[in-house]
Amino acid sequence: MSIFLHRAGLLTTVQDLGRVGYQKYGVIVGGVMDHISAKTANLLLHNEINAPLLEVTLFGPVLEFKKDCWIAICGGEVEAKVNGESISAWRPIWVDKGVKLSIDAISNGCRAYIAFSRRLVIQSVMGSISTNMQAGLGGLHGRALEKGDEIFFDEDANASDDTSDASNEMVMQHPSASHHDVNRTECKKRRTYDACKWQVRPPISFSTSVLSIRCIRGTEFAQFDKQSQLHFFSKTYTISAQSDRMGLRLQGEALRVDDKQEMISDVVAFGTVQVPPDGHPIILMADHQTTGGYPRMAQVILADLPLLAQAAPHTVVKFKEVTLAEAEKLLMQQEKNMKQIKLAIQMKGMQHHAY
Amino acid sequence: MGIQQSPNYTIERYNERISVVRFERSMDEEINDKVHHLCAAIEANPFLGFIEAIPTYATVAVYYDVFRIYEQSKEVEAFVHQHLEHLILQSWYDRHLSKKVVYIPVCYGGKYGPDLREVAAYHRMLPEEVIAEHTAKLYPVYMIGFAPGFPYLGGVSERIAVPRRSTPRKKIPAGSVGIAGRQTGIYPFASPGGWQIIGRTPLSLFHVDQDPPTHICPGNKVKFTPITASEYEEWGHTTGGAS
Repeated sequence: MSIFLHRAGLLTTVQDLGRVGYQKYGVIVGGVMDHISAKTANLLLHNEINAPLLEVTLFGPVLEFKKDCWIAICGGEVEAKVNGESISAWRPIWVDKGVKLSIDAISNGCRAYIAFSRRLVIQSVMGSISTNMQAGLGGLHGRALEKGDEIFFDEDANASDDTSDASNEMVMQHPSASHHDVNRTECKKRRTYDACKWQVRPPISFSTSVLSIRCIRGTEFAQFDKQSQLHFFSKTYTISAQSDRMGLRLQGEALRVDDKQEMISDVVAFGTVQVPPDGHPIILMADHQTTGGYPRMAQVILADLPLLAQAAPHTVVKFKEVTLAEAEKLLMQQEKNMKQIKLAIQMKGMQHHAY
Repeated sequence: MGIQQSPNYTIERYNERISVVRFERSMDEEINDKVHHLCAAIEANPFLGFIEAIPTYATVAVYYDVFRIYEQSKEVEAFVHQHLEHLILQSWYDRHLSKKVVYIPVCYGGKYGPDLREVAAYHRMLPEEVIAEHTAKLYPVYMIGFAPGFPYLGGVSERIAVPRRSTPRKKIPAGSVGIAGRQTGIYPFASPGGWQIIGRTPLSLFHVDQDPPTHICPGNKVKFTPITASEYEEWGHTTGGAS
Protein backbone atom coordinates (compact mmCIF):
# COMPACT_ATOMS: atom_id res chain seq x y z
CA MET A 1 0.00 0.00 0.00
CA SER A 2 2.81 2.33 -0.75
CA ILE A 3 5.29 3.72 -3.19
CA PHE A 4 8.84 2.46 -2.89
CA LEU A 5 11.88 4.44 -4.04
CA HIS A 6 14.37 2.42 -6.06
CA ARG A 7 16.23 5.63 -6.84
CA ALA A 8 15.88 8.98 -5.12
CA GLY A 9 16.99 11.30 -7.90
CA LEU A 10 18.94 14.50 -7.40
CA LEU A 11 16.58 16.14 -4.92
CA THR A 12 13.12 14.69 -4.41
CA THR A 13 11.04 16.06 -1.54
CA VAL A 14 7.50 15.75 -0.25
CA GLN A 15 5.79 19.14 -0.59
CA ASP A 16 2.49 20.97 -0.41
CA LEU A 17 1.71 24.69 -0.64
CA GLY A 18 3.74 25.49 2.48
CA ARG A 19 3.65 26.09 6.21
CA VAL A 20 1.66 29.27 6.60
CA GLY A 21 1.36 31.34 9.78
CA TYR A 22 4.57 30.48 11.63
CA GLN A 23 7.06 32.92 10.16
CA LYS A 24 6.94 35.03 13.32
CA TYR A 25 8.44 32.02 15.11
CA GLY A 26 11.23 31.84 12.54
CA VAL A 27 9.63 28.92 10.68
CA ILE A 28 9.95 29.25 6.91
CA VAL A 29 6.94 28.81 4.62
CA GLY A 30 8.71 26.44 2.20
CA GLY A 31 6.37 24.37 0.05
CA VAL A 32 6.52 23.83 -3.70
CA MET A 33 8.80 26.06 -5.76
CA ASP A 34 6.44 26.18 -8.78
CA HIS A 35 2.89 26.31 -7.45
CA ILE A 36 1.32 26.52 -10.91
CA SER A 37 2.64 23.12 -12.03
CA ALA A 38 2.01 21.58 -8.61
CA LYS A 39 -1.59 22.82 -8.45
CA THR A 40 -2.26 21.64 -12.00
CA ALA A 41 -1.01 18.13 -11.11
CA ASN A 42 -3.42 17.94 -8.19
CA LEU A 43 -6.29 19.45 -10.20
CA LEU A 44 -5.83 16.76 -12.88
CA LEU A 45 -6.63 14.10 -10.27
CA HIS A 46 -9.45 16.11 -8.66
CA ASN A 47 -7.33 16.24 -5.52
CA GLU A 48 -7.42 18.91 -2.90
CA ILE A 49 -5.25 21.75 -4.23
CA ASN A 50 -2.93 21.42 -1.23
CA ALA A 51 -2.60 17.59 -1.38
CA PRO A 52 0.90 16.20 -0.73
CA LEU A 53 2.99 15.53 -3.81
CA LEU A 54 6.60 14.92 -4.79
CA GLU A 55 8.83 17.68 -6.09
CA VAL A 56 11.52 16.32 -8.37
CA THR A 57 14.62 18.30 -9.35
CA LEU A 58 16.60 18.01 -12.63
CA PHE A 59 16.98 14.22 -12.45
CA GLY A 60 14.19 12.24 -10.92
CA PRO A 61 13.44 9.11 -8.94
CA VAL A 62 12.36 5.56 -9.78
CA LEU A 63 9.17 4.70 -7.92
CA GLU A 64 7.45 1.36 -7.60
CA PHE A 65 3.73 1.34 -6.93
CA LYS A 66 2.69 -1.27 -4.38
CA LYS A 67 -0.92 -0.41 -5.09
CA ASP A 68 -2.70 0.85 -8.20
CA CYS A 69 -3.11 4.60 -8.35
CA TRP A 70 -3.82 7.57 -10.59
CA ILE A 71 -0.91 9.91 -11.05
CA ALA A 72 -0.22 13.16 -12.88
CA ILE A 73 3.16 14.66 -13.72
CA CYS A 74 3.46 18.41 -14.38
CA GLY A 75 6.36 20.85 -14.57
CA GLY A 76 9.39 21.07 -16.82
CA GLU A 77 9.69 18.77 -19.81
CA VAL A 78 10.18 15.31 -18.31
CA GLU A 79 11.54 12.11 -19.69
CA ALA A 80 9.10 9.83 -17.87
CA LYS A 81 8.73 6.09 -18.33
CA VAL A 82 6.33 3.50 -16.99
CA ASN A 83 7.90 0.04 -17.06
CA GLY A 84 10.29 1.37 -19.68
CA GLU A 85 7.63 2.89 -21.97
CA SER A 86 7.56 6.66 -22.43
CA ILE A 87 4.55 8.50 -21.07
CA SER A 88 3.41 12.10 -21.41
CA ALA A 89 2.97 14.64 -18.70
CA TRP A 90 0.05 17.04 -17.97
CA ARG A 91 -2.63 14.28 -17.98
CA PRO A 92 -4.03 11.66 -15.60
CA ILE A 93 -2.27 8.30 -15.85
CA TRP A 94 -3.44 5.10 -14.24
CA VAL A 95 -0.72 2.77 -13.00
CA ASP A 96 -1.27 -0.77 -11.75
CA LYS A 97 0.24 -2.37 -8.68
CA GLY A 98 3.86 -3.37 -9.35
CA VAL A 99 4.46 -0.70 -11.98
CA LYS A 100 7.74 1.18 -11.95
CA LEU A 101 7.76 4.86 -12.84
CA SER A 102 11.04 6.55 -13.69
CA ILE A 103 11.61 10.26 -14.16
CA ASP A 104 14.92 10.80 -15.89
CA ALA A 105 16.21 14.13 -17.14
CA ILE A 106 14.07 17.26 -16.87
CA SER A 107 14.72 19.79 -19.62
CA ASN A 108 13.06 23.13 -20.37
CA GLY A 109 12.52 23.75 -16.71
CA CYS A 110 14.13 21.94 -13.83
CA ARG A 111 11.34 20.76 -11.57
CA ALA A 112 8.46 18.36 -11.93
CA TYR A 113 5.62 17.39 -9.61
CA ILE A 114 4.13 13.93 -9.23
CA ALA A 115 0.64 13.97 -7.76
CA PHE A 116 -1.20 10.84 -6.57
CA SER A 117 -4.91 10.10 -6.37
CA ARG A 118 -4.28 8.26 -3.12
CA ARG A 119 -3.33 10.41 -0.20
CA LEU A 120 0.25 10.05 0.98
CA VAL A 121 0.57 9.37 4.69
CA ILE A 122 2.86 12.14 5.90
CA GLN A 123 2.61 13.62 9.38
CA SER A 124 1.45 17.21 9.25
CA VAL A 125 3.68 19.54 11.26
CA MET A 126 2.30 23.00 12.02
CA GLY A 127 -0.39 22.61 9.42
CA SER A 128 1.79 21.40 6.56
CA ILE A 129 3.52 18.25 5.35
CA SER A 130 6.14 20.21 3.37
CA THR A 131 9.77 19.22 3.94
CA ASN A 132 11.81 21.84 5.78
CA MET A 133 15.30 20.44 5.25
CA GLN A 134 17.11 23.16 7.24
CA ALA A 135 15.20 22.44 10.43
CA GLY A 136 14.52 18.77 9.69
CA LEU A 137 10.75 19.25 9.93
CA GLY A 138 7.86 17.81 7.96
CA GLY A 139 8.05 15.58 4.92
CA LEU A 140 9.57 12.14 5.37
CA HIS A 141 11.84 12.44 8.46
CA GLY A 142 12.41 16.12 7.60
CA ARG A 143 14.77 15.31 4.75
CA ALA A 144 14.97 14.73 1.01
CA LEU A 145 13.88 11.26 -0.08
CA GLU A 146 16.50 8.52 -0.24
CA LYS A 147 16.79 5.23 -2.06
CA GLY A 148 14.86 2.57 -0.15
CA ASP A 149 12.30 5.01 1.32
CA GLU A 150 8.69 3.91 1.32
CA ILE A 151 5.76 6.32 1.47
CA PHE A 152 2.45 4.79 2.45
CA PHE A 153 -0.98 5.51 1.01
CA ASP A 154 -3.85 6.41 3.29
CA GLU A 155 -5.91 3.26 3.85
CA ASP A 156 -8.99 5.10 5.08
CA ALA A 157 -9.92 6.23 1.63
CA ASN A 158 -9.81 2.63 0.56
CA ALA A 159 -11.03 0.21 3.21
CA SER A 160 -10.76 -2.94 1.15
CA ASP A 161 -7.59 -4.32 -0.32
CA ASP A 162 -9.60 -5.94 -3.07
CA THR A 163 -8.43 -4.35 -6.29
CA SER A 164 -11.78 -4.56 -8.08
CA ASP A 165 -13.43 -2.55 -5.30
CA ALA A 166 -10.54 -0.19 -5.39
CA SER A 167 -10.83 0.40 -9.10
CA ASN A 168 -14.56 1.10 -8.79
CA GLU A 169 -13.77 3.64 -6.17
CA MET A 170 -11.05 5.17 -8.28
CA VAL A 171 -13.42 5.63 -11.18
CA MET A 172 -15.83 7.42 -8.88
CA GLN A 173 -13.16 9.60 -7.40
CA HIS A 174 -11.65 10.50 -10.73
CA PRO A 175 -14.38 10.84 -13.29
CA SER A 176 -12.04 12.77 -15.52
CA ALA A 177 -10.24 9.59 -16.34
CA SER A 178 -13.07 7.11 -16.34
CA HIS A 179 -14.37 4.54 -18.82
CA HIS A 180 -14.06 6.63 -21.91
CA ASP A 181 -10.31 6.93 -21.89
CA VAL A 182 -9.37 4.09 -19.67
CA ASN A 183 -11.49 1.02 -19.58
CA ARG A 184 -10.28 -0.45 -16.34
CA THR A 185 -11.06 -4.12 -16.84
CA GLU A 186 -9.81 -4.03 -20.36
CA CYS A 187 -6.63 -2.17 -19.65
CA LYS A 188 -5.80 -4.47 -16.82
CA LYS A 189 -5.74 -7.44 -19.13
CA ARG A 190 -3.89 -5.56 -21.77
CA ARG A 191 -1.39 -3.45 -19.94
CA THR A 192 -0.25 -2.27 -16.60
CA TYR A 193 -0.85 1.41 -17.09
CA ASP A 194 -2.96 3.73 -19.20
CA ALA A 195 -2.86 7.42 -19.85
CA CYS A 196 -5.79 9.67 -20.68
CA LYS A 197 -5.69 10.82 -24.27
CA TRP A 198 -6.39 14.41 -23.39
CA GLN A 199 -4.01 16.71 -21.59
CA VAL A 200 -4.01 20.25 -20.26
CA ARG A 201 -1.89 22.81 -21.97
CA PRO A 202 0.98 23.80 -19.66
CA PRO A 203 -0.11 27.13 -18.13
CA ILE A 204 3.41 28.52 -18.36
CA SER A 205 6.13 27.95 -20.90
CA PHE A 206 9.67 27.44 -19.71
CA SER A 207 11.56 27.25 -22.98
CA THR A 208 13.15 30.56 -23.81
CA SER A 209 16.79 31.34 -24.47
CA VAL A 210 16.69 34.39 -22.23
CA LEU A 211 14.20 34.23 -19.42
CA SER A 212 12.40 37.54 -18.98
CA ILE A 213 11.47 38.14 -15.36
CA ARG A 214 9.35 41.09 -14.27
CA CYS A 215 10.09 42.94 -11.04
CA ILE A 216 8.92 45.88 -9.02
CA ARG A 217 11.46 48.07 -7.22
CA GLY A 218 12.73 46.82 -3.89
CA THR A 219 12.75 48.73 -0.60
CA GLU A 220 16.38 49.93 -0.95
CA PHE A 221 16.35 50.41 -4.75
CA ALA A 222 17.07 54.13 -4.38
CA GLN A 223 20.13 53.42 -2.23
CA PHE A 224 21.94 51.61 -5.06
CA ASP A 225 24.21 53.76 -7.25
CA LYS A 226 22.81 54.94 -10.59
CA GLN A 227 25.02 52.53 -12.51
CA SER A 228 23.72 49.53 -10.55
CA GLN A 229 20.10 50.62 -10.98
CA LEU A 230 20.71 50.80 -14.71
CA HIS A 231 22.60 47.52 -14.93
CA PHE A 232 20.01 45.53 -13.06
CA PHE A 233 17.28 46.33 -15.55
CA SER A 234 19.43 46.24 -18.70
CA LYS A 235 22.18 43.59 -18.39
CA THR A 236 21.63 39.86 -18.31
CA TYR A 237 22.38 37.68 -15.29
CA THR A 238 23.18 33.99 -15.19
CA ILE A 239 21.80 31.64 -12.54
CA SER A 240 24.75 30.02 -10.79
CA ALA A 241 25.05 26.33 -9.98
CA GLN A 242 25.20 27.36 -6.29
CA SER A 243 21.45 27.86 -6.32
CA ASP A 244 18.93 25.87 -4.36
CA ARG A 245 15.45 25.99 -2.87
CA MET A 246 16.57 28.83 -0.56
CA GLY A 247 17.80 31.12 -3.28
CA LEU A 248 19.08 31.61 -6.80
CA ARG A 249 22.54 33.15 -6.93
CA LEU A 250 23.14 35.39 -9.93
CA GLN A 251 26.34 36.02 -11.82
CA GLY A 252 26.74 39.24 -13.74
CA GLU A 253 27.37 42.93 -13.19
CA ALA A 254 27.95 43.51 -9.46
CA LEU A 255 25.54 45.91 -7.76
CA ARG A 256 26.68 48.52 -5.25
CA VAL A 257 24.87 50.59 -2.67
CA ASP A 258 25.79 54.27 -2.43
CA ASP A 259 25.00 54.61 1.17
CA LYS A 260 26.66 51.75 3.03
CA GLN A 261 24.73 51.99 6.27
CA GLU A 262 24.51 48.71 8.15
CA MET A 263 21.03 47.27 7.73
CA ILE A 264 19.19 45.64 10.59
CA SER A 265 17.18 42.45 9.99
CA ASP A 266 14.08 43.30 8.03
CA VAL A 267 11.34 41.82 5.85
CA VAL A 268 12.18 39.46 2.99
CA ALA A 269 9.87 37.31 0.87
CA PHE A 270 9.74 34.73 -1.91
CA GLY A 271 11.10 36.66 -4.91
CA THR A 272 13.07 39.31 -3.00
CA VAL A 273 16.28 40.21 -4.86
CA GLN A 274 18.79 40.98 -2.12
CA VAL A 275 22.38 42.05 -2.60
CA PRO A 276 25.10 40.94 -0.15
CA PRO A 277 28.34 42.98 0.17
CA ASP A 278 30.02 41.11 -2.73
CA GLY A 279 27.48 42.77 -5.06
CA HIS A 280 26.11 39.55 -6.56
CA PRO A 281 22.34 39.40 -6.22
CA ILE A 282 20.46 36.48 -4.69
CA ILE A 283 16.78 35.89 -5.45
CA LEU A 284 15.11 34.37 -2.43
CA MET A 285 13.02 31.31 -3.22
CA ALA A 286 10.54 29.02 -1.39
CA ASP A 287 12.90 28.02 1.46
CA HIS A 288 14.14 31.55 2.20
CA GLN A 289 14.71 32.59 5.83
CA THR A 290 11.97 34.61 7.46
CA THR A 291 14.02 37.82 7.73
CA GLY A 292 17.15 39.20 6.09
CA GLY A 293 19.73 41.92 6.44
CA TYR A 294 20.88 42.80 2.92
CA PRO A 295 19.70 45.69 0.74
CA ARG A 296 16.70 44.75 -1.42
CA MET A 297 17.08 45.74 -5.06
CA ALA A 298 13.83 44.37 -6.43
CA GLN A 299 10.92 42.05 -5.88
CA VAL A 300 10.00 39.52 -8.57
CA ILE A 301 6.29 39.73 -9.32
CA LEU A 302 4.26 36.78 -8.04
CA ALA A 303 3.08 35.77 -11.52
CA ASP A 304 6.69 35.17 -12.61
CA LEU A 305 7.83 33.15 -9.59
CA PRO A 306 6.80 29.79 -11.15
CA LEU A 307 8.96 30.61 -14.19
CA LEU A 308 11.89 31.45 -11.97
CA ALA A 309 11.33 28.28 -9.96
CA GLN A 310 11.81 26.34 -13.20
CA ALA A 311 15.05 28.14 -14.13
CA ALA A 312 17.90 25.63 -14.10
CA PRO A 313 21.50 26.61 -13.31
CA HIS A 314 23.14 28.51 -16.21
CA THR A 315 19.81 29.99 -17.32
CA VAL A 316 20.24 33.57 -18.53
CA VAL A 317 17.77 36.01 -16.97
CA LYS A 318 16.84 39.56 -17.89
CA PHE A 319 14.85 41.70 -15.49
CA LYS A 320 12.11 44.04 -16.60
CA GLU A 321 10.59 46.71 -14.40
CA VAL A 322 6.81 46.82 -14.01
CA THR A 323 4.51 48.71 -11.67
CA LEU A 324 2.72 47.09 -8.79
CA ALA A 325 -0.59 47.71 -10.56
CA GLU A 326 0.66 45.73 -13.57
CA ALA A 327 1.94 42.98 -11.28
CA GLU A 328 -1.46 42.76 -9.63
CA LYS A 329 -3.21 42.57 -13.00
CA LEU A 330 -0.89 39.80 -14.20
CA LEU A 331 -1.49 37.87 -10.99
CA MET A 332 -5.27 38.12 -11.42
CA GLN A 333 -4.95 36.89 -15.01
CA GLN A 334 -2.88 33.92 -13.88
CA GLU A 335 -5.44 33.04 -11.22
CA LYS A 336 -8.24 33.29 -13.79
CA ASN A 337 -6.28 30.98 -16.08
CA MET A 338 -5.95 28.42 -13.27
CA LYS A 339 -9.71 28.58 -12.68
CA GLN A 340 -10.27 27.86 -16.37
CA ILE A 341 -7.95 24.88 -16.22
CA LYS A 342 -9.88 23.57 -13.22
CA LEU A 343 -13.15 24.03 -15.06
CA ALA A 344 -11.83 22.32 -18.20
CA ILE A 345 -10.74 19.30 -16.14
CA GLN A 346 -14.15 19.15 -14.45
CA MET A 347 -15.82 19.30 -17.87
CA LYS A 348 -13.79 16.29 -18.97
CA GLY A 349 -15.25 14.41 -16.04
CA MET A 350 -18.81 15.54 -16.91
CA GLN A 351 -18.51 14.43 -20.49
CA HIS A 352 -17.52 10.98 -19.38
CA HIS A 353 -20.50 10.65 -17.13
CA ALA A 354 -22.76 11.61 -20.00
CA TYR A 355 -21.00 9.28 -22.39
CA MET B 1 3.49 52.99 -4.73
CA GLY B 2 1.18 54.55 -2.17
CA ILE B 3 3.38 55.44 0.73
CA GLN B 4 1.41 56.97 3.54
CA GLN B 5 3.53 59.30 5.58
CA SER B 6 2.94 60.33 9.12
CA PRO B 7 5.44 61.36 11.76
CA ASN B 8 5.42 57.89 13.26
CA TYR B 9 5.10 55.31 10.54
CA THR B 10 4.83 54.49 6.86
CA ILE B 11 2.78 51.78 5.19
CA GLU B 12 4.29 50.49 2.00
CA ARG B 13 3.23 47.77 -0.39
CA TYR B 14 6.07 45.20 -0.46
CA ASN B 15 4.55 43.09 -3.22
CA GLU B 16 1.12 41.93 -4.38
CA ARG B 17 0.37 40.11 -1.12
CA ILE B 18 2.50 41.86 1.52
CA SER B 19 2.34 45.34 3.05
CA VAL B 20 5.00 46.60 5.41
CA VAL B 21 4.41 48.97 8.30
CA ARG B 22 7.67 50.71 9.22
CA PHE B 23 8.16 52.65 12.43
CA GLU B 24 11.85 53.52 12.05
CA ARG B 25 15.07 52.19 10.67
CA SER B 26 16.78 51.46 13.93
CA MET B 27 17.21 48.95 16.71
CA ASP B 28 15.40 50.44 19.66
CA GLU B 29 13.25 48.90 22.35
CA GLU B 30 10.58 51.59 22.24
CA ILE B 31 10.20 51.28 18.48
CA ASN B 32 10.17 47.50 18.69
CA ASP B 33 7.37 47.73 21.29
CA LYS B 34 5.18 49.43 18.66
CA VAL B 35 5.93 46.52 16.34
CA HIS B 36 4.66 43.97 18.85
CA HIS B 37 1.65 46.08 19.84
CA LEU B 38 0.62 46.26 16.20
CA CYS B 39 1.10 42.51 15.68
CA ALA B 40 -1.08 41.83 18.70
CA ALA B 41 -3.73 44.25 17.42
CA ILE B 42 -3.84 42.67 13.95
CA GLU B 43 -4.05 39.16 15.33
CA ALA B 44 -6.84 40.16 17.71
CA ASN B 45 -8.76 41.97 14.93
CA PRO B 46 -7.81 40.25 11.67
CA PHE B 47 -9.21 41.88 8.54
CA LEU B 48 -10.72 39.85 5.70
CA GLY B 49 -7.98 37.93 3.92
CA PHE B 50 -5.35 38.45 6.63
CA ILE B 51 -2.82 35.59 6.67
CA GLU B 52 0.06 36.42 9.02
CA ALA B 53 2.04 39.28 10.55
CA ILE B 54 5.79 39.03 11.02
CA PRO B 55 7.57 41.35 13.44
CA THR B 56 11.14 42.49 12.79
CA TYR B 57 13.17 45.15 14.67
CA ALA B 58 11.24 48.14 13.34
CA THR B 59 8.76 46.77 10.80
CA VAL B 60 5.77 44.48 10.54
CA ALA B 61 5.23 42.44 7.37
CA VAL B 62 1.55 41.75 6.83
CA TYR B 63 0.65 38.89 4.46
CA TYR B 64 -2.83 38.68 2.96
CA ASP B 65 -4.87 36.66 0.49
CA VAL B 66 -5.04 39.10 -2.38
CA PHE B 67 -7.64 37.01 -4.28
CA ARG B 68 -10.02 36.95 -1.35
CA ILE B 69 -9.71 40.69 -0.85
CA TYR B 70 -10.13 41.31 -4.57
CA GLU B 71 -13.54 39.60 -4.49
CA GLN B 72 -14.57 42.16 -1.86
CA SER B 73 -12.76 45.22 -3.18
CA LYS B 74 -10.83 45.83 -6.38
CA GLU B 75 -8.74 48.39 -4.49
CA VAL B 76 -6.65 45.89 -2.56
CA GLU B 77 -4.12 48.41 -1.34
CA ALA B 78 -6.65 50.91 -0.08
CA PHE B 79 -8.58 48.11 1.64
CA VAL B 80 -5.54 46.72 3.49
CA HIS B 81 -3.90 50.03 4.32
CA GLN B 82 -7.09 51.52 5.75
CA HIS B 83 -7.40 48.54 8.05
CA LEU B 84 -3.75 48.82 9.06
CA GLU B 85 -3.99 52.54 9.81
CA HIS B 86 -6.96 51.89 12.01
CA LEU B 87 -5.12 49.06 13.78
CA ILE B 88 -1.99 51.17 14.32
CA LEU B 89 -4.12 53.82 15.99
CA GLN B 90 -5.93 51.22 18.05
CA SER B 91 -2.69 49.54 19.13
CA TRP B 92 -1.43 52.94 20.24
CA TYR B 93 -4.37 53.49 22.60
CA ASP B 94 -4.49 49.88 23.58
CA ARG B 95 -0.85 49.32 24.47
CA HIS B 96 -0.92 47.31 27.65
CA LEU B 97 0.68 44.26 26.17
CA SER B 98 2.03 42.44 29.17
CA LYS B 99 5.62 41.42 28.70
CA LYS B 100 6.11 37.88 29.82
CA VAL B 101 9.52 37.21 31.36
CA VAL B 102 11.08 33.91 30.32
CA TYR B 103 13.90 32.58 32.51
CA ILE B 104 16.64 30.72 30.67
CA PRO B 105 19.13 28.67 32.72
CA VAL B 106 22.62 28.81 31.22
CA CYS B 107 25.83 26.99 32.00
CA TYR B 108 28.55 29.52 31.15
CA GLY B 109 32.10 28.78 29.98
CA GLY B 110 33.98 25.51 29.70
CA LYS B 111 32.87 23.16 26.94
CA TYR B 112 29.43 24.81 26.91
CA GLY B 113 30.76 28.32 26.34
CA PRO B 114 34.03 28.01 24.41
CA ASP B 115 34.28 31.76 23.68
CA LEU B 116 33.68 33.03 27.23
CA ARG B 117 37.41 33.46 27.92
CA GLU B 118 37.92 35.28 24.64
CA VAL B 119 35.04 37.66 25.34
CA ALA B 120 36.48 38.33 28.81
CA ALA B 121 39.99 38.87 27.38
CA TYR B 122 38.59 41.24 24.74
CA HIS B 123 37.26 43.49 27.49
CA ARG B 124 40.06 42.75 30.03
CA MET B 125 37.54 41.30 32.41
CA LEU B 126 37.25 38.08 34.36
CA PRO B 127 34.90 35.44 32.91
CA GLU B 128 32.82 35.76 36.11
CA GLU B 129 32.34 39.46 35.40
CA VAL B 130 31.09 38.72 31.89
CA ILE B 131 28.60 36.23 33.35
CA ALA B 132 27.46 38.76 35.97
CA GLU B 133 26.96 41.37 33.24
CA HIS B 134 25.12 38.99 30.90
CA THR B 135 22.74 37.77 33.61
CA ALA B 136 22.07 41.23 35.08
CA LYS B 137 19.76 42.46 32.32
CA LEU B 138 16.26 41.78 31.18
CA TYR B 139 16.53 41.47 27.38
CA PRO B 140 13.63 42.33 25.07
CA VAL B 141 12.89 39.74 22.35
CA TYR B 142 12.98 41.99 19.28
CA MET B 143 12.12 39.25 16.81
CA ILE B 144 12.59 35.59 15.96
CA GLY B 145 14.46 34.68 12.81
CA PHE B 146 17.45 32.98 11.25
CA ALA B 147 16.13 29.58 12.38
CA PRO B 148 12.91 28.33 14.02
CA GLY B 149 12.80 29.78 17.52
CA PHE B 150 16.06 31.81 17.34
CA PRO B 151 15.37 34.91 19.47
CA TYR B 152 17.13 38.17 18.71
CA LEU B 153 17.65 39.76 22.11
CA GLY B 154 18.79 43.35 22.22
CA GLY B 155 20.40 45.73 24.65
CA VAL B 156 23.58 43.84 25.58
CA SER B 157 25.82 46.01 27.75
CA GLU B 158 28.67 47.77 25.91
CA ARG B 159 30.96 46.25 28.52
CA ILE B 160 30.53 42.75 27.05
CA ALA B 161 29.57 43.53 23.43
CA VAL B 162 31.88 41.72 20.96
CA PRO B 163 32.08 41.44 17.18
CA ARG B 164 31.13 38.20 15.45
CA ARG B 165 33.85 35.58 14.98
CA SER B 166 35.89 36.26 11.86
CA THR B 167 35.36 32.65 10.76
CA PRO B 168 31.92 31.27 11.57
CA ARG B 169 31.76 27.84 13.19
CA LYS B 170 30.47 25.02 11.01
CA LYS B 171 28.42 23.59 13.83
CA ILE B 172 27.15 25.19 16.99
CA PRO B 173 25.31 22.82 19.38
CA ALA B 174 21.61 23.36 20.11
CA GLY B 175 21.02 25.56 23.15
CA SER B 176 24.20 27.62 22.66
CA VAL B 177 23.98 31.22 23.88
CA GLY B 178 25.94 33.74 21.84
CA ILE B 179 26.80 37.41 21.61
CA ALA B 180 27.15 39.44 18.39
CA GLY B 181 27.66 43.16 18.85
CA ARG B 182 25.01 44.37 21.28
CA GLN B 183 22.75 41.42 20.53
CA THR B 184 22.52 38.11 22.29
CA GLY B 185 20.68 35.01 21.11
CA ILE B 186 20.17 31.29 21.56
CA TYR B 187 20.62 28.66 18.84
CA PRO B 188 17.58 26.34 19.14
CA PHE B 189 19.05 23.81 16.68
CA ALA B 190 22.59 22.72 15.93
CA SER B 191 23.62 24.97 13.05
CA PRO B 192 26.52 26.92 11.59
CA GLY B 193 26.97 30.39 13.06
CA GLY B 194 29.33 33.26 13.75
CA TRP B 195 28.23 34.47 17.19
CA GLN B 196 30.61 34.25 20.15
CA ILE B 197 29.37 31.34 22.27
CA ILE B 198 29.54 32.03 26.00
CA GLY B 199 27.25 29.32 27.38
CA ARG B 200 24.53 26.77 26.75
CA THR B 201 21.00 26.19 28.04
CA PRO B 202 19.66 22.69 28.69
CA LEU B 203 16.18 23.89 27.70
CA SER B 204 14.75 22.89 24.39
CA LEU B 205 13.49 26.05 22.66
CA PHE B 206 11.36 24.65 19.87
CA HIS B 207 8.54 22.10 20.01
CA VAL B 208 6.80 21.27 16.77
CA ASP B 209 3.73 19.89 18.52
CA GLN B 210 3.08 22.87 20.78
CA ASP B 211 1.25 26.09 20.09
CA PRO B 212 3.13 28.40 20.08
CA PRO B 213 6.02 26.18 18.98
CA THR B 214 8.65 28.42 20.56
CA HIS B 215 9.66 28.62 24.21
CA ILE B 216 10.40 32.33 23.76
CA CYS B 217 7.98 34.50 21.76
CA PRO B 218 8.48 37.84 20.04
CA GLY B 219 7.69 40.61 22.51
CA ASN B 220 8.70 38.56 25.58
CA LYS B 221 11.61 39.47 27.85
CA VAL B 222 14.42 37.07 28.66
CA LYS B 223 16.41 36.74 31.87
CA PHE B 224 19.42 34.43 31.92
CA THR B 225 20.22 32.60 35.15
CA PRO B 226 23.58 30.87 35.67
CA ILE B 227 23.69 27.14 36.45
CA THR B 228 26.62 24.79 37.08
CA ALA B 229 27.83 22.07 34.73
CA SER B 230 26.36 19.36 36.95
CA GLU B 231 23.01 21.17 37.07
CA TYR B 232 23.14 21.37 33.28
CA GLU B 233 23.76 17.65 32.95
CA GLU B 234 21.05 16.72 35.46
CA TRP B 235 18.62 18.99 33.66
CA GLY B 236 19.19 16.99 30.52
CA HIS B 237 18.43 13.76 32.37
CA THR B 238 15.27 14.85 34.08
CA THR B 239 13.63 16.82 31.31
CA GLY B 240 15.18 15.38 28.17
CA GLY B 241 16.02 18.86 26.95
CA ALA B 242 18.35 19.88 24.17
CA SER B 243 21.61 18.00 24.04
